[in-house]
Amino acid sequence: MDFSRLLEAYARPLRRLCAAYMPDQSDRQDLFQEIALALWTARPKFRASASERTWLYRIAHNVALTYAAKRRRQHRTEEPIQIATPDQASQDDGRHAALLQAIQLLDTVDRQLALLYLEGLAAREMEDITGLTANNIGVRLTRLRHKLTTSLNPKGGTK
Amino acid sequence: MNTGSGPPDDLQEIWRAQSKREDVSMILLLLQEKQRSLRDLIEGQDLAEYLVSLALAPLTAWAAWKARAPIVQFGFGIMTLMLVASTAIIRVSERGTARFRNIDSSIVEYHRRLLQSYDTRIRFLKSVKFWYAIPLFVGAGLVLRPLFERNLPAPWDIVVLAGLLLIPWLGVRHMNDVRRVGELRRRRDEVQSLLEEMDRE
Repeated sequence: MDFSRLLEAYARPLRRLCAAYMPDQSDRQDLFQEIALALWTARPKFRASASERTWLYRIAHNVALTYAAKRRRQHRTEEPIQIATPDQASQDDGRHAALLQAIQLLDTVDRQLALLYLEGLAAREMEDITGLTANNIGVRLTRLRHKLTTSLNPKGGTK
Repeated sequence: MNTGSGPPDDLQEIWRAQSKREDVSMILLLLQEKQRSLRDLIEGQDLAEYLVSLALAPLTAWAAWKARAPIVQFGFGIMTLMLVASTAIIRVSERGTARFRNIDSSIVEYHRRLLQSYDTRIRFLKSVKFWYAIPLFVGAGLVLRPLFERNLPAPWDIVVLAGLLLIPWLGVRHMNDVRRVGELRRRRDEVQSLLEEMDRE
């Protein structure tokens, strides 16, 4: 496996994943490095027959969860991850910022599923990554999509 | 809803529209440094205990060989046995925890295994005061017994010796049962709460 190519190919989705877990810019950078480090370390165990994308997202989400828990411990707070401040969000496109905020407000499992869905992973891949059942994923995704669409169009409801 | 192949839907388009270029080469340099520090950290686990046991075992074996009184020989023998056993157990324990470093599994499975690793380590630390510390200090007691017997009247020789051995045993108990296990339990509770959140319908 060519690690540089892998990181280059998935840098953008991984960067988006970091943004969904960490509102703070420096935390996002640190998380990205942690994920890259975990991928580097796990690289020899990757089997060529397995899906590279599934393998990568599994590791990325595991690292992000652990990192988020570590940050919460450091801040000595049990509150969920804070949403982005207007300053941070102002750098983004308005609709993207609204979507990001809606994702940050989701609970852990829903946030993972939302991110996998938004990156276009198949239901089978989501099963492999999260360990949830297909039925559970289907129900959650329908609810999530409705919720996210509503967050983009608060007055109009679903689009 | 589009999951898998096919053109992205409106939500997916909004999500993917926002991206920045990454300086991959810089990240790779940081990676190599972090990987080195991680490897050092893993290799450093239990190293102090391992080295102390490894250094003391030949000394106690030599002392057992040289001692004249059978009770002292027996005491040093027990100590040697426990020190050798502890070096072996530390190595086995390190290998056992290595399988939990495998992060390439489903998120639920990964966290379950993480919890399992915390439980295993807690059980191990809580058992140290019985299987390791008690025999070791009994051995030390047998070694020191003649010295106290010569210098103190009965039953004070036994009382003082037992008291002196009780202090380091309580130290071992405190270090493992209170400090190390306390920290592990705190971390375990955090992982547990995450797992419960994931399992929640």
